[in-house]
Amino acid sequence: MACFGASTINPVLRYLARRILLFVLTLIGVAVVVAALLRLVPGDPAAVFLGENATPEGVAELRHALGLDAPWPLQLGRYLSGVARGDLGDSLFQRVPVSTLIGERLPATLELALAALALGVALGGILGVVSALKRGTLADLAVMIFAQLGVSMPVFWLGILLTALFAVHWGFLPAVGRGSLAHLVLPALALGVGLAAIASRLVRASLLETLREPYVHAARARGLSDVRVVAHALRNALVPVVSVLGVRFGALLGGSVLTENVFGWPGLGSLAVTAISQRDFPLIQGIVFVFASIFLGLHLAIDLAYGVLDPRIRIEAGGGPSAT
Amino acid sequence: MAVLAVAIFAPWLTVHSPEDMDMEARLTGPSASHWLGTDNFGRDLWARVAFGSRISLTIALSSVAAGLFLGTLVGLVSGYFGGLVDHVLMRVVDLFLAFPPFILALALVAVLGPGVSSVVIALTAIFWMEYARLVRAITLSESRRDYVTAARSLGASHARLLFRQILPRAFGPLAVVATLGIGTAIVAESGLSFLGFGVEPPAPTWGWTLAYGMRYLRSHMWLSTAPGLAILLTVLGFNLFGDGLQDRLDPRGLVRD
Repeated sequence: MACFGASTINPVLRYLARRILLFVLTLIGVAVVVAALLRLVPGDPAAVFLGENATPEGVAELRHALGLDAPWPLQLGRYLSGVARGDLGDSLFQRVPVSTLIGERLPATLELALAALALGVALGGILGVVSALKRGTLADLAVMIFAQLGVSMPVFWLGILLTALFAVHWGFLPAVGRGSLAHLVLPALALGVGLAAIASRLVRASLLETLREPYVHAARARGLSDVRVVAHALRNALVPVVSVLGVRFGALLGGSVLTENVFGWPGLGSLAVTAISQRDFPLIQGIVFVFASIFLGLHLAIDLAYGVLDPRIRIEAGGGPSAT
Repeated sequence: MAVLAVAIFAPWLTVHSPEDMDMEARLTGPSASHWLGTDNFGRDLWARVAFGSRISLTIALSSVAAGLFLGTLVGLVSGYFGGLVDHVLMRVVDLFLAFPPFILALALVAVLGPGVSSVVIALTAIFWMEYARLVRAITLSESRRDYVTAARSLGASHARLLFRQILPRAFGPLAVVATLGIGTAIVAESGLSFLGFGVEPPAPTWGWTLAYGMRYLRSHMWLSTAPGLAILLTVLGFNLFGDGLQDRLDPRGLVRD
């Protein structure tokens, strides 16, 4: 008789450990790439930052402050050890720790991204289910048109259109800023529509495929109601959708930079634009690292969620089902 | 096709140059002499949109082509030779994929500075991984086929096998991703220009024209509508074309959402 404790916990732990190790190693790689960004600057980053005000003494002083006068391996080691301690250096322009500036803006970006994600998934899910169940009808066609327009529409233009309609023309909602739920509606909608468009196509395709499975026919034959059959099929149909949406979250984060600038949303995206305008390289590096970390963290969460949604994945990752 | 035609024949399809200023006709709406109206410098908006299509399409096609070249090379080598080479190359791919695409492009433009070449490099950096993975998957699959084994046993070189036997099998799926990628590149380039980090003004990029039009949203909405519509219709066209290509050239569904 198989021992439940020893043979079923180990594959789960192995799966978790492997995913977390991969996450940490990739994060280190990301930090290396971010540190190397400065080496791509044409010319001397210190001189580029100082611009017309650059003097030899000023450049030398800034190079020393940035650690650019040290050999590259030492620069890399310092950057990596700083990242491990949560020290992302100091902003050249604002003379405060980069981590402080990021900490002030990160909640706003997360709020916007999560709101857009929730809206996109909810709207896309509903439309996808409707489209699958009403395949070949006008409703299906309408959803497909929405999906095509949604993926083709630039997020910044959608934001401008929404602002023009709901804020400027009708005055229902505020055009810029953050402070209340009303401020969140338009930016989340602008950012979430693209995701909803993709989600609707994915859910439709996945659900249609799942509804053709033999177990669904068997469930119907046993007399289960359509609602229960669809609910049951939807759970399995969501597995590939979760994976793709996780990849698309990267596009969402990128889109948040544009959306924040359209709506004056005080998040990391608008901070990034300011940093780039000022050639504030430590701040640029810090923001890129944090964005990548969030993206990687989400991938880790999705990988772990896979284990919940589909037990076959953690059993396969653990080396196969235990023998009885 | 229409957008391509506009881009190619822009000088013949426009009466005005995109830089010509007519201060007496500034901020006028669509009319017979200015089909899409004028901006606050009196510049013809139709001319700016038409010539802007050249910039967007040039950058998009260049970056997709460069990404295809790099990604195909990496994918072929990785899938064919396997082992340590495959492991190392795929870890590099994974590393690039760890960055949200637009953030990576923005970071590269931030350090390289504005300009066409910077934008092309930045967009190439976010495209090549997808092509590498696709070509690797196809190479892995095709390398095990009998015709490859037979060719190898007849003394065919690695290069011949890769470029004459295996690579043609990837043309269909690559055509699909490349077509879809052009739309993505146009949106990304427009986004960079919108933020002011793409091709510098006074070049009439769609993104910059749209950003400029935002200042007059309340009173002169056509200033942002025209470039926005141009982006939407162009991307929609490439997406629909790519979807159609997928049905014809990628029946195995190697290219997925």
